[in-house]
Amino acid sequence: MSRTYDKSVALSGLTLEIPKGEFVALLGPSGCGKSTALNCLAGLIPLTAGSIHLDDRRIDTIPPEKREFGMVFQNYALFPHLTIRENISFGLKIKKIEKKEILNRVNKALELVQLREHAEKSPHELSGGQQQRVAIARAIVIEPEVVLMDEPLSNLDAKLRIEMRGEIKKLHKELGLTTIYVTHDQEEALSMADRLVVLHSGKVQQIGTPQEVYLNPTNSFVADFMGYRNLLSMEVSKQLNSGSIEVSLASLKLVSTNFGSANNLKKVKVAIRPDNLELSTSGENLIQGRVIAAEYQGREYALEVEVDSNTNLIVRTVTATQVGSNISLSVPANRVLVFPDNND
Amino acid sequence: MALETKHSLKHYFADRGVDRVLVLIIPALTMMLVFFVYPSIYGIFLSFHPINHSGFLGNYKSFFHDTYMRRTIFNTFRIALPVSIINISAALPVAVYVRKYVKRTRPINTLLVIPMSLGTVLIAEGLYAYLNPSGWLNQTLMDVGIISQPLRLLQNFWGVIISLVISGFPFAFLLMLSYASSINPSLELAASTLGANSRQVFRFITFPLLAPGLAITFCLNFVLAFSVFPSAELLGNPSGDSHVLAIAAADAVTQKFDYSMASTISIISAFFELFVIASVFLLRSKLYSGSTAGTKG
Amino acid sequence: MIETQVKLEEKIAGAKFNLTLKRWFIWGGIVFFFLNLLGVIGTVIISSFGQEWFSGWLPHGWTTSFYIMAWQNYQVYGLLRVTLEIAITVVLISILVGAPAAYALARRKFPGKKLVMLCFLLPIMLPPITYGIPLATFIYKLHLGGKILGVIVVNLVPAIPFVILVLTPFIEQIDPKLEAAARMCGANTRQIFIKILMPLIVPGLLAAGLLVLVQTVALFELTYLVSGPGSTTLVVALYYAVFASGIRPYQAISAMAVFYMLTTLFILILALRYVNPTQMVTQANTKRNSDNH
Repeated sequence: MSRTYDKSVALSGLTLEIPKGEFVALLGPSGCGKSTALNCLAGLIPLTAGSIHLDDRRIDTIPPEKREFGMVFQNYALFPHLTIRENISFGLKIKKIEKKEILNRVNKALELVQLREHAEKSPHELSGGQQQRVAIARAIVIEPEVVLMDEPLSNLDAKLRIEMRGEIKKLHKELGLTTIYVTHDQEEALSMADRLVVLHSGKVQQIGTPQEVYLNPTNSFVADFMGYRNLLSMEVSKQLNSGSIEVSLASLKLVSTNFGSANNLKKVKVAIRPDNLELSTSGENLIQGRVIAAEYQGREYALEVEVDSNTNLIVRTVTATQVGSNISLSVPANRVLVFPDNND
Repeated sequence: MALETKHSLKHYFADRGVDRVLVLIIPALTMMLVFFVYPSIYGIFLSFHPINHSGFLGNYKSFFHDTYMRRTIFNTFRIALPVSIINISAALPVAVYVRKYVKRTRPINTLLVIPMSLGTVLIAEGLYAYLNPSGWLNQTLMDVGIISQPLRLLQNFWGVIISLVISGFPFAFLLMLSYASSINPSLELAASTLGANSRQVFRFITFPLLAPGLAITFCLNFVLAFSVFPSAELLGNPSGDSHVLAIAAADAVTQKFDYSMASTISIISAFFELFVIASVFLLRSKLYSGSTAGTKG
Repeated sequence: MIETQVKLEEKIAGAKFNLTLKRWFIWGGIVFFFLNLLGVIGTVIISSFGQEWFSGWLPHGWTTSFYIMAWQNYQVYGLLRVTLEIAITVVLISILVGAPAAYALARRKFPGKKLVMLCFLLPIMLPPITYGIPLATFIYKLHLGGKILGVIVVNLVPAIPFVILVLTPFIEQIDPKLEAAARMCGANTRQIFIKILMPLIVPGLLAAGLLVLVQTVALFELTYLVSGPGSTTLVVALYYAVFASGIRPYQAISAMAVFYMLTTLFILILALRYVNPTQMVTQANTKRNSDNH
């Protein structure tokens, strides 16, 4: 299965091959082209160039209703004039499937999303989470080749969102569905997907497993998006040996062993995750600084540490720290990520 | 290759909203073009071809040279302007009050829809008897002792005015009410927390926000009063001071069968209507014209 | 301290008095308006049942004979039939033509949309008499003058835009994702139309249809300009009756007016079961009204 699209502004040159049963997440900030990609896939937006293949069939030329895809929409898009049961059986009725089988399959789907007792209700009588389950049931009951999900959890509250993540993941495993999931929430994508596609302004930034994308983002944009909150514009000041370089910004000097192709450049972006910075007086890359703000976040504290007159670092730590106190930080050299500066 | 071009052309148009769905407009648009746009253009053309062959502007010349005809413009304004002013100046305070203090507006609205849907002809017919020297109105006023002689309200200016107020006020009120209801009440609350009293709230908040709606209501009422002729014909003095443009135009068709002259009069009347509407909107554009609902309304 | 307290109380009392005054003034105005309206309508009804009524509060005797007279002389039955025939045809055609256009206008942005909208707005904004005369001229040229078809055509000119303006905001608030969802369930355009769109649009169609019905029955100017014997509607016949009021007794004209009033009120009551009264004046606000349902 291979797909190539080229949508001039919204999405350009996305090439992706998805094996059966995989859970792929398209991830990016709003306006990055991820929804365009999904809608192209569904056939709701025509391709400007490129093609979509399902196994050996070319499908971008056939209308969406014949592609046999299931889709879950952001606002659920439940038919307000139909009951839950009628909503779920809609696709089966269209396919003129035998009544008895419809009943069986709809009941099974209702069972699967735990909505058996709500079958005869109207969509507006259900809560957001329940409506979301109906939308999922409606998409999977037709046993689609591929399920497309367009930010399905973005309208739910935080607690429900985490609950639903698990349920969607479970359904995916149980039914072995090929799933393409669009989201702007990196946590959601990391926890659910087998593979991530990070998009930015219509271009693919990185494709990889959650671990790869999380630990080794390919550029500063992906790093920023993946929660590397310390993004500093620095300069490469020294080539230490084949495996490490030194970058500096005023008095701040850091050693990195994770720089990819950036060692030949002068201007670079340096990314460090707040949780990779540790409060310690020994270890690699010792940095002295003064705490200028501390925010209690439940399990841990987020500290803003001034390490240079113009440079602050965000640090996450479980140790309670007073504002104004001087502290010492360390970060492993392989967790100091150096990228080419995109603004060049 | 040819197929590819055709394909991308289709996309080009689809991206701009031009696709098969637009076919759905064609029947309605055709109807409008054939029975509204074309006749209007034809009417303009016709007005320049007088039946007595008096030349390109012959109809316009004879209209403006004839004192009796020329007076129709004055007569029309003399009726339409006061009526619109009465209607909106009554509708504005009532609408603001009703929106603020009346919870269930539907009964009032329903009652007010009745005179509107009965139409001017029936209102005129009723007023004919009601405003009679021996009608209920004069009876009441005399019995109460306000007047000693019955008021003469028929066959003159007053009958027409009263009839247009009865059919125009409900229209103005319902329109103003819907504009007033679209103002976010928290804006007024915000003003009063800042220390404005109710008069200041009205003066600085409610009225400026209502002004655009007021302009539209005035225009619609004016246009209505400008062109409705059954009341002028039945209650006024149609050959005297209620000889309005609409009567002149209708008479040219139904009595003289002079479609050319009738079209001329309609065009003159449309011109004056548009003139008034344009000046009101010009005035309006100088006033506040943003959203009345506040942010995120 | 106490002084300011007193002043404040005075101020509050003053404001309360002002409000009371305002309330009396406004409610007084409303009651005055309705009393007059009642007087107008009441006069028509009472006089239609009166034998002779030259002066005094009520007629000198009661009779229903003028209803029989009016029914026969004005051929009310025929007028009623023609009126309903015309009105219902106008409703059906205007919905059939207007609803698809409303759908396209609600769902698509396209170059020239403003011009198209202007074309649909003008017949509603302009008073009928201004475009009615050139239109009547055109209708006579087509040899439709005085015929039922001609009356239907002229009534369609304001009716189609009216349907479009009522339905467009109604359709706009139906989520286009519903159509996409149905498509993803395998439904083709025809199935989406029948199973999803139609059931959701029906309330809007009903509202638009009833509003057009009320309008067409009451629309005087356009019908007056093109109708002839056999294609006259009730309201035009009523106008002629009042216009030539010397010919028949006033009570008969009143009886005729009552027939017209009953017809209009019957349709109005029917309409008000499904539409909000404010929808009759403003299309710009239909969106808000439909949200309230």
